Amino acid sequence: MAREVEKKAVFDTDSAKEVVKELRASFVAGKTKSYEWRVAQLKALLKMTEENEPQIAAALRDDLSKPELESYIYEIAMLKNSCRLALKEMKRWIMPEKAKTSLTTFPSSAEIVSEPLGVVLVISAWNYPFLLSLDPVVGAIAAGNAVVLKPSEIAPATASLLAKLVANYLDSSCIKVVEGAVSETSALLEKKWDKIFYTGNGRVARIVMAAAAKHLTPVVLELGGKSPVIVDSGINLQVSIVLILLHVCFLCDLHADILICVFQVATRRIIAGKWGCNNGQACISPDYIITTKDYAPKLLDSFKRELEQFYGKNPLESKDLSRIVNSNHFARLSKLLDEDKVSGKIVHGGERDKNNLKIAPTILLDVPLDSLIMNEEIFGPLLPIIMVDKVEDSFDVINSSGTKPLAAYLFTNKEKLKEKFVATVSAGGLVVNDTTVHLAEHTLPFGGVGDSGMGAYHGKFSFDAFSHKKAVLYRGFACDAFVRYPPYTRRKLRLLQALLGGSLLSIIRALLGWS
Amino acid sequence: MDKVMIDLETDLKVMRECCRSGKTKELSWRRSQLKGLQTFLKENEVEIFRALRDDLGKHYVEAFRDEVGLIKKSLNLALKDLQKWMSSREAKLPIFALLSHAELVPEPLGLVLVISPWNFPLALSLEPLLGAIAAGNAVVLKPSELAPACSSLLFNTLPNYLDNETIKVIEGGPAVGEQLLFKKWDKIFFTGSARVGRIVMSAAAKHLTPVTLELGGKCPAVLDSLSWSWDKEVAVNRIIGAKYGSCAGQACVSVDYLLVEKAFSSAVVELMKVLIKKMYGDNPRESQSVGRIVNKRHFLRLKNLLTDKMVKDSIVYGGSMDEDSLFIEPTILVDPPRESTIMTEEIFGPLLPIITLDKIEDSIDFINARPKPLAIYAFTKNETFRRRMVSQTSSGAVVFNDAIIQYAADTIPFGGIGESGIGNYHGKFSFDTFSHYKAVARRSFLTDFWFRFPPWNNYKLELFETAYNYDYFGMLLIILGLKRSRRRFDRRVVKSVEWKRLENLRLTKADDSQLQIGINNGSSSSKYSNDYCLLGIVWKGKKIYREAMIKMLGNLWITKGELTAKEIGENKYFFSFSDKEDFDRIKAGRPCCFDRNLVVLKEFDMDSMEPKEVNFKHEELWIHVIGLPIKLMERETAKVIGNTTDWFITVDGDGGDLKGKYTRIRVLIDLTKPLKRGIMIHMDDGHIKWISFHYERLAKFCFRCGIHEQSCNQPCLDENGTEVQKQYGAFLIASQRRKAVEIKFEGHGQSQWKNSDVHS
Repeated sequence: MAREVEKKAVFDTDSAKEVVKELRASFVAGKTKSYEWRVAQLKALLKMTEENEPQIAAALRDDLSKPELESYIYEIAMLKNSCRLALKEMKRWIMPEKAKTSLTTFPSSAEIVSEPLGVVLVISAWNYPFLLSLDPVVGAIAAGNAVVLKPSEIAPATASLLAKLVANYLDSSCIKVVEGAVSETSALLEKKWDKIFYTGNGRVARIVMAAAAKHLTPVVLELGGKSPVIVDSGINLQVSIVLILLHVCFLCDLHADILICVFQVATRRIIAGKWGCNNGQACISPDYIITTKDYAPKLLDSFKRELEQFYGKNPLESKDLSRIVNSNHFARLSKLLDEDKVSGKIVHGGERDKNNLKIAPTILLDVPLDSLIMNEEIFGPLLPIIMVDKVEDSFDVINSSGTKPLAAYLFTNKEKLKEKFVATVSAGGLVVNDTTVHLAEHTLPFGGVGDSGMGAYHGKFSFDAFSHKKAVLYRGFACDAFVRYPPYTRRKLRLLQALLGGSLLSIIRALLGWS
Repeated sequence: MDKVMIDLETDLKVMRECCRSGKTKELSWRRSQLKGLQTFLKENEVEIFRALRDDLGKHYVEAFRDEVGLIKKSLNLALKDLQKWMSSREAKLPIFALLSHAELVPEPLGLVLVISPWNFPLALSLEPLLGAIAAGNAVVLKPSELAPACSSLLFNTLPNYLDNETIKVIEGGPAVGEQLLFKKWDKIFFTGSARVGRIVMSAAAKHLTPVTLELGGKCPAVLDSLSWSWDKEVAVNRIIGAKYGSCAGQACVSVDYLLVEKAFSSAVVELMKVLIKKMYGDNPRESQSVGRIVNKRHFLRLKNLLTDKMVKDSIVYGGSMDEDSLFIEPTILVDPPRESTIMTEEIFGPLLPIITLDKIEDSIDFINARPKPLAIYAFTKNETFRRRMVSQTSSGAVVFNDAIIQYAADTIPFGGIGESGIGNYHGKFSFDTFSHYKAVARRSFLTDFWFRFPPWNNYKLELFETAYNYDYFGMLLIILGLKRSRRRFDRRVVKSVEWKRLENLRLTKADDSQLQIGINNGSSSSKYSNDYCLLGIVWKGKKIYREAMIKMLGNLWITKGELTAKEIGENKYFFSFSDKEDFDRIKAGRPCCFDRNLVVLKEFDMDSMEPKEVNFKHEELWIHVIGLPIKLMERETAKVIGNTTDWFITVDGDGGDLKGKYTRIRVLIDLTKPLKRGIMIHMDDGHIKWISFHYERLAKFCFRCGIHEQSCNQPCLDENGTEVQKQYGAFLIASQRRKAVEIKFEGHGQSQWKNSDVHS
């Protein structure tokens, strides 16, 4: 332990070099490439998560006072899931993919082989310090890479727990955790990696990518952005309630929970995405709402009602809400709320507790578009509502910002509006009639576009993100097209034209000299 | 130039507008642009051949084979498959996502920049261009200034065939390139050298622009000792074609050096000489079939490679050059020193070093010792060697028994790894390179899992676990109440973990500000005179770690005002509150439990009392009286029952409120006596009814004798001296009440500790 502390204190370029050297040696030796190694590591990771659930939840409570259930649902269970999926599917993923070949290269066969990239660096974020650290690692292991993980120093309890657990459970010659802040990260970034996977903000992402450029290292950047929610006025909640009642009543009438919860589905789904995800400190949580002028008051009412049901009359006391991660972020959010143009727009919540870094769910109505809160990612429990005359105008509001968000959400029953939404709004992922659920689907790639990042992961996409798709083409020595070689003649040109055209008939004609 | 840049600025704005309008997304637009490209190639074939001859001395057959023909082929494919590529792809969802539907929708990235090189000025400009168009992007193409004829052909003629609002060709050198890189793009597609690739990527980092870099590298060819002469001849033919036949070796995919076994090398060299003669004649300079070096700078670079003293001796064939016509003869070198420049830098010219190895298997180590190449060409019939080559080396592509041909295959990705580039293209991969696959999930309002929403409890946790495991049956059982939650993930577990962690307490900054554990133990009693004080003792428990105790109680009590704690003896604490409200609340909230130990709290008057005088034998508790007939659920009955206990205090609620499952009474009990389990009452109609008592927040007590005690180690004996069996149990613990009525937490989070004396 003491030695570790000592080592940490002087973690600099040299130590980074040592780490990379050790991992590269293991990689070159081919240790990580074997299927057995990958399976063993993933199993160990799964075991590590299963055996340390309370510790993980406690660390998350320390760092973010995250409710245990949220920790379990969004971090622990998600990670276990992706481990299990990788274990189940990996055999299929690593199989070379057969590719068809054309007449141009006849006779031949081709395949696309997934090979590990080498030694990869994963830099993770503080808002889901456990999941965002290990989920990429699952992909990296499945793809057969050696990994260095740098968890965020802003979530220190989780970071030190990760360092301890990973060292205990995983193969430390190939997978390492380096704890540290800016200087350690800079030291790591100086080194040559085969891939850098960064989760965080756009400012640091630029630094990461610039550092990667020096070594021509490909990067995956998972950033955030202002993810909008469009709520159409036409969503008739009452109708759906009846149907849901029908749907669930036969299942059970024991649980009063069910009957209460089916009200206000849309509102609930927004709340679950906004405040139920680490109190708004999630990259995909809704950032602001766009709705029509007529509908805004109704929406607001239902928000107030549902919020009270979820978090009680005094949400600052609720154990089901996370706190703001640190005083810097608390100050930043306070600044957003205290701006002159904005402070008068608070219609719900607004309570703050500086000592405990808690901010109650806050809703702001009709916030000016040029305010601070509408121009930077909020990343906290504040939810501005923007009003437009027609719901179709909301697409312009989103597109005119010029940046592409990580996610965009739409609540509507109108088929046409859905189609238009999919066609006109560009974002990492779109969800119709729900929030944040696309994150849990491993068949969907999770990643941003433009300012919200590049590259995607989850499920097989994680594997792909950490693999190189090597093209392998097999040719025989038979059938060599003499036209390929000099001396070049006009006849060869004609034959080539036919060959590249791919039509058998014209090839024969060219061979016979008829064309 | 400035004017050009200002124009560019406005042009880019217009292009962005066009993108936003959705014009480029239309299938018809993409189709018409691709058709435009086709017409361009068809109508300008002669001009293209001429331009390529002027720039690089390419023969028109070579020009067709490597450039025009390939582009035509790619265009045909794109036009044929465009609709298929553009359609969205369904993503499978588990049943868990009831009535949901998800798909991957390809969408254009927006405005992209294509920077192309001089060696295949047409193919490497149009191949990415057509990919970008097929994906629906607006494109700026900057061809290389080092192939001026082609560049001006593209600049002057190509726009006639395409939509000029969204597709632009910009001519210029490095200065223009630099200006372009300052702008914000949605993708930069660069083909060229690794040095410039780094510059491009650094510039892209400023705007977080994704890049595709198609670079080069020293692509090795490995020639196994083939026994059949036909195979040998074909292999050598293909190597020669790949080396000298493609723009005189100035291609990123051309063979850079050849690895052969020592014993086989002389035969290879002889065969090569023969075949080169066959292809290029006795005087290759006169032959139209070998390309020129692009410019003087590159000519001199190649000349320097050859005239290196150590290298010069290794030339076994060719080596002549003509500076005026920028011609270099196909040249073969055998075993030039491995540390010479020719073996460390990409050659990019018609020089072929042959490296001889003892065993052909050594080639794998040889390749791995160098940066990852764009392609590896292996001519072998040995199956094991092939497999090793695929699995043990890393490169953009591996081709067996041929070279360069992978460039023409549309079904495999073309691109490098490491030093040879990032990203890939060709065929559908080109479309993918310029597309963003947007994840779209559609849900209906009809079904929803109520357990997705807070407030959280263990029941919801259990449901989540089964849902994540796709254990639908288990889920159903839980919903129907047939399966009990086996998880205990409540706060108590976590607290005990925290408590363990506290043993090596490490004060973070945040803790420090709130928990000021000072050394101020000389505080006089007068200091507390205005405060409200409590004395607390951990009832018959083991010694409790005082820091943990203090911190935990601070967390538990959440006071508004200041709270001071002092340890005054083993497991004995003195608490003083600055706020009366806190004091009253804590008093009312008794019993106070810590780690299932009862902490008995007593009011304490600083002025008149001594700690020793305080009697800790009694504590206030809430009792649930269970089993009363509804008729008897009223205050009077509750009082009567309460008086049978040691000391009745009050009843919770009044008349109406009592009509629940139980009546709640608050009593003072004697901790040294066994817990009362209930009472018999005689009903009016004569029969006798057992009324049971359940205790709220009951701390540890002995299941045998029912006395509050950490643990009765000795056997519990009754009056007669016989050992008692288990008489008590967990049934005495009242079930958790949904709402904590008696306590309202109105404080602001954690208590403000002050001057806590932790010295014992």
